[in-house]
Amino acid sequence: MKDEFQSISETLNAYLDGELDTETITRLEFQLATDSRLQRHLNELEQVRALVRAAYTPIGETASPSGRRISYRHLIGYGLAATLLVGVGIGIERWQRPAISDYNLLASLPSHAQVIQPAHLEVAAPASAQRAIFHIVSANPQSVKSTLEHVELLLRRHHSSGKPLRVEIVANAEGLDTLRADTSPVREQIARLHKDYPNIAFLACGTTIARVKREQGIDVKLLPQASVTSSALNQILSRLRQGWVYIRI
Amino acid sequence: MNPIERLCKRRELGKHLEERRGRLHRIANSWCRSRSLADDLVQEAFAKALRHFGQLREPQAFDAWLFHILHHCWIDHCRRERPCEDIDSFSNTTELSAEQPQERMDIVHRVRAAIADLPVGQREVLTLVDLAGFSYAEVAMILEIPTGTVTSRISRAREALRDQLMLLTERPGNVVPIRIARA
Repeated sequence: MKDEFQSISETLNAYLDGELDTETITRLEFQLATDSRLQRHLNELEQVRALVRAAYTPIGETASPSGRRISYRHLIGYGLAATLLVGVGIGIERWQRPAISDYNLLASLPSHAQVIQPAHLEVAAPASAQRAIFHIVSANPQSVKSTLEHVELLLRRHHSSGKPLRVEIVANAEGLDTLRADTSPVREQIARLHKDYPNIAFLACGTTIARVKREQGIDVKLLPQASVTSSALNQILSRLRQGWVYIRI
Repeated sequence: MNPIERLCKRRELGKHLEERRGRLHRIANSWCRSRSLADDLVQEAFAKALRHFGQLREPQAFDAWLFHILHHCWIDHCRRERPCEDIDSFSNTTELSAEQPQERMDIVHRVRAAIADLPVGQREVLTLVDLAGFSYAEVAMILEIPTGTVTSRISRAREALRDQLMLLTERPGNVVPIRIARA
């Protein structure tokens, strides 16, 4: 019978090799986000693969196979982004930071922001790029504040240029604290954004709420501006399919 | 098919085979650990491919078909020559030149030695996935084993290498050569 270690190892290796189905990838990505030992295990397997390739790579060639398949190697650093790439089932381009312009959705984001831009859209196209879904997964007040500041900056900019921007902010895992009435470090900011801009929605993940109830016995009370979506991930996938831009800061 | 068509087909096939020689040789070398034997295995695989080209039903599966033939050549060799390894003919320096930094060569030798220590089934799967870039399903087809076996073998192979090789990347002096290799 297969032991637990072997089972985990097979999943991690299959993940590296692009052999997992979307549902398993989703589950694994969430585990990886919260389990540093698992992340380290994955990193080491990835290094082993790189060493094997390098050991048989002729001088002057790159140490990777033919590149016919999607390689997650390049996407590991993108965390959840890798999940979404597969889930959406559409071409995604790695985001190239565009030149700053007053209508550009992405130009003012910080350098560490993760962005998924459906490949069939022009990065700078004003009409189609004016819908963005921001993802909050961390309870870190600094990170949450930074996200909201960027949202506000974008909304202000678009508002003043007469090109309205639709924004959804979806929170799950530890990020749920952002939208909880008892824990949110940014309740005033959220109230202000909600009052000033009609095109913004705050969505809490129903799956996370159910888990908090199950594991901690807490009935989550949300801020009055927030509503519930059944699953943050499904919401993100659905928006990406509709051509929205995904941003995680 | 008339003789001219047949000749054209063979020429075309010859071109496809030549394009894949390097990849086949790399895999053969990782299996048998002998440069000259790898040459022989690739030649034998080419000869068989030319002879049996008519049996290829799906042109898009040409690569998997070719590696399947190579694998059969390798198995046949093992059956004929068991024990099959000629220590003197080992070539761990294949594709490396004297100008390479010593550190990189050391790492390459250690990685190849670790791969050589793997059970042959794991070595085959590992090299077909990592060096030839085949999917698990393709490897299953090439080696005629269930996909689940490919999954477990690749995992066991990488875990065994992980135990042996992680020290290499933890030594600060080794970081640069590995990066050079991956660049």
